[in-house]
Amino acid sequence: MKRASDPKWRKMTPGLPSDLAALFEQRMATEGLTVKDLTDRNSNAFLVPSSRYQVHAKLDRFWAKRVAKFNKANISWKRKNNSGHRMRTQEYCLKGLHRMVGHNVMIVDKLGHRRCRVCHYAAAAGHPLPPEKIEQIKAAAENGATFNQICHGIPAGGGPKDRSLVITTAAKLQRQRKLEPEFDAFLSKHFEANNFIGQILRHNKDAPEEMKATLRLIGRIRHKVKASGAELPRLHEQRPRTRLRSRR
Amino acid sequence: MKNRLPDLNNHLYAQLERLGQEDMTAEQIDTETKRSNAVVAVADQILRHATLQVQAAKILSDHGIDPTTHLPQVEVNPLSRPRLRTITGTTS
Repeated sequence: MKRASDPKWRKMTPGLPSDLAALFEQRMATEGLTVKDLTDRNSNAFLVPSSRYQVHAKLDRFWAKRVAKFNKANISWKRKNNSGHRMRTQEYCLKGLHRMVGHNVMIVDKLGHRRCRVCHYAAAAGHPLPPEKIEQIKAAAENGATFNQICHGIPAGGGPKDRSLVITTAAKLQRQRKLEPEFDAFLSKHFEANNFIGQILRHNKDAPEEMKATLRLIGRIRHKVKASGAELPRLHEQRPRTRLRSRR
Repeated sequence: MKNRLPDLNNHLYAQLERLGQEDMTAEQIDTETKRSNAVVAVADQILRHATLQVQAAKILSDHGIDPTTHLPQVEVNPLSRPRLRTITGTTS
């Protein structure tokens, strides 16, 4: 503990002598110390009493401005590097489940805050889907919905985006598919057929709405034929490719 | 005669059911796939023809001519029938 009435300050002019002021500034710049570190009597880096610093800051405005700038930067740096969160996540993530090394460490902002990548993805996907939602997705898939329709609202067979068709997000759906292999198999089977039908609908964009039902049926039959392993003949002759530039 | 688009759908549904039968031998599956391909090819031709008819009817309608005589597969509600000229020029 340093005493306030230290004899070295007696008979000195108010504020700090020029060499001490320079040392104060230098230690802030090189060692990353804050004003509190340099003026706190309990600190190991104590240099000058707080009252002397305050008087000198009033007398030399330019010095005070430079010191304030260093102080702000150093406080920010210390907060970032010595925070409890950072200390706790040096080896393992906050949940204590994953090692915080290499690719698993995510730097999320300019300040250099760290996150566990595995935990972040798990949190982004959210909770497992509720049973009624799963039933809704299954019903949609049976009625000809594709992945793009369920997750992004783009109807099977193309067309403008319709947000009312969206049932869930892609991340949540994929997570549920990983959790439930049966659900995944069900969706894969239906999505394959629905994509096949969607392709036929896209090919017949000009067909009136009344004929879309027939086209869907044709798609279903052709998909079954394809799934059985039999040869699938072309419905139309392939359009001859036109050469854009004729060679001379 | 059953020659309207809904009747075509019925034929296709029947074929789909035949394809979905589980107790079929390899030969039967082969026969059904061939039949499916034939049915689909015919259905596709019918659809293309119908699409062409609808396009023709649209053009007639744009010129103020009654297109119903050119749409044999579409049933028109007589109560909401618009008064348009036929292709021969007489008013329907």
